[in-house]
Amino acid sequence: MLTKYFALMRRSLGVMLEYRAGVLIWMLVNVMPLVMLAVWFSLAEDGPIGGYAQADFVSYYLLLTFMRQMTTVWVIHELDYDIRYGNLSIKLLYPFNPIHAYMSDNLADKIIRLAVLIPLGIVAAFLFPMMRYELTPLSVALMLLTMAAAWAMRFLSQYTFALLAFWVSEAQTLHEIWYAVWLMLGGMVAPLDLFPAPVAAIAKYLPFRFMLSFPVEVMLGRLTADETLLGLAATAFWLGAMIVAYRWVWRRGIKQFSAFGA
Amino acid sequence: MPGSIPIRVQNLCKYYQVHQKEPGLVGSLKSFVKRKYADVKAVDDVSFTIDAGEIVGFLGPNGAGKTTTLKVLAGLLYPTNGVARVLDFTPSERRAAFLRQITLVMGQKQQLAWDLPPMETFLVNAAIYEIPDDQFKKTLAELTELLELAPLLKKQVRKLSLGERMKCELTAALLHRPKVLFLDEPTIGLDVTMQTKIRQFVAEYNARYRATIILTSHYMADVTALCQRVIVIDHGKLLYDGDLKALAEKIAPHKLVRVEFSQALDGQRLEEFGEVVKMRGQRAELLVPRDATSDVAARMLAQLPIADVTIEEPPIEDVITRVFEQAARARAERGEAEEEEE
Repeated sequence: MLTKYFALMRRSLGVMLEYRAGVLIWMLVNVMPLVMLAVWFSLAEDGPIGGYAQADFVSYYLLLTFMRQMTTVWVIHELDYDIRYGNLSIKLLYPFNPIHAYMSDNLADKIIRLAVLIPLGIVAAFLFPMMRYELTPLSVALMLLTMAAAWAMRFLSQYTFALLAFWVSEAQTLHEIWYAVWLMLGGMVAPLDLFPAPVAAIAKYLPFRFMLSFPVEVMLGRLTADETLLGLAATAFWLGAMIVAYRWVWRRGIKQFSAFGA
Repeated sequence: MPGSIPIRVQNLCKYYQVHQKEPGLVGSLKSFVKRKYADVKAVDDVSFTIDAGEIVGFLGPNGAGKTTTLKVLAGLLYPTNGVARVLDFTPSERRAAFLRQITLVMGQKQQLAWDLPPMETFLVNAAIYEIPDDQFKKTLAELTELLELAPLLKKQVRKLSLGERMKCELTAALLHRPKVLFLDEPTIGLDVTMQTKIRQFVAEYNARYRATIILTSHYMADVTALCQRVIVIDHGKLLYDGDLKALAEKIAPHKLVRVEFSQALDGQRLEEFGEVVKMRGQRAELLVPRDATSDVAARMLAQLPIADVTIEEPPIEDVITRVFEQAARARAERGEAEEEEE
């Protein structure tokens, strides 16, 4: 399986390198965390807000930018199109589940992003010496693990929404609703601690947090050991639920597939 | 022994639910509030078997159900009813062992990555189909020779001509040396020379690997060159399954007699020999009942100033058109009864 992934990723990289400018532009449009940083940075000029000083916002949002980049998923556009225009047929002929073809394509993109983001991260460390993270081997390992889980959840949820295209033509519109909630409750517009207590209490357990901000929270060192463990359990729960949901929808959808357009 | 028959289809049905809409804005609004659906019987109770090494032509007008049948056999679609077995697998289960032994080439769909040279896709397929390195090199070398690919391998796919691209599509589809090939309009849009090349290639592949092949094409030349046996379907129903020649004999009770006279001739003198379909100068074409052809030809030679005479089967296109016309008439006769039922 690994050989297959490498072969597919190699080809995806080839395609991306044909469109060098496009890849960079797509990276640049994912700057919403930086916009939010500018907003909160100026608001916190006169003193900390809800326990977040300017330096905390910088630490939070710069790492969130990294998470946002590393968990970027666009599979809904591709899969929805492939289903409705019958192009899925080509991938269904491969002797494996087509999800691997889409996943390897997305992972190839992450290689390119890392190559751009690592030098940028080093520059940022010099420009913003006020960044503070909990830099222990454990927290870094946990961050990498929860980041991988965040990517998997983003991918699976989008993939499952795209599979709805087997029945409806508006799969992308349905996903927009999910996406909007993710922006709100995933820690993008504000760190979840800053939400009104009742909202924060619920958002803490919803899947959206584990699809973006949780790895950042781990690195900021603001979580107690119990909170971290609870977060890991919730991540495992939601990831498992998404795998089950994906399988269920896939098995039914594929029977529905009518391979139009050819 | 059932294992020796690679393709078995029994009472296969595939119905689509199609959402119907009146044209225009009012139609759109109506359909937004309440959708009307209709069942379309793309494949309706079709049965046949195909032996190992056979090349079978699938004939039928657009929308007859040819492509749908191929897609069911390749595992892309679930049948609504009936049984399809290919290489003793149920295609819709899409087992890896099954998919590694078949291929489906669609003249209108492509698997090559548009922005990269075809070689990149070949390498990906080598990994996906787990083709051993030496076998990959050998097969690629063979295909490169047969299809004259050498100058194309490193060119971007988007810069290839349609014919060049089709050759590369075929290569990508055959690198894993499938035992069963479904070729859906493999020559569509190609010029005559390229059509001939693809045809020769399919015949060569069939001979070399004893592959079982189902081919659909709108170009009768593809079918006459490659297939002894044809399966004719229309409106999802199987109309004919058997020898291509026998079909001509069954459907077209006439043969075509072409004559060239040594001097100009009054057309009316020909009427007694058969139905005159063309008369120009000293050449004429007559339809003569199949059984009487040799008799008529002998009489013509004896009674008319003839320079040359040939006896031919009527063009296969005409035969096929006739099959569909007969089927349409039969449907029309049944049609009224069906509508009353609804």
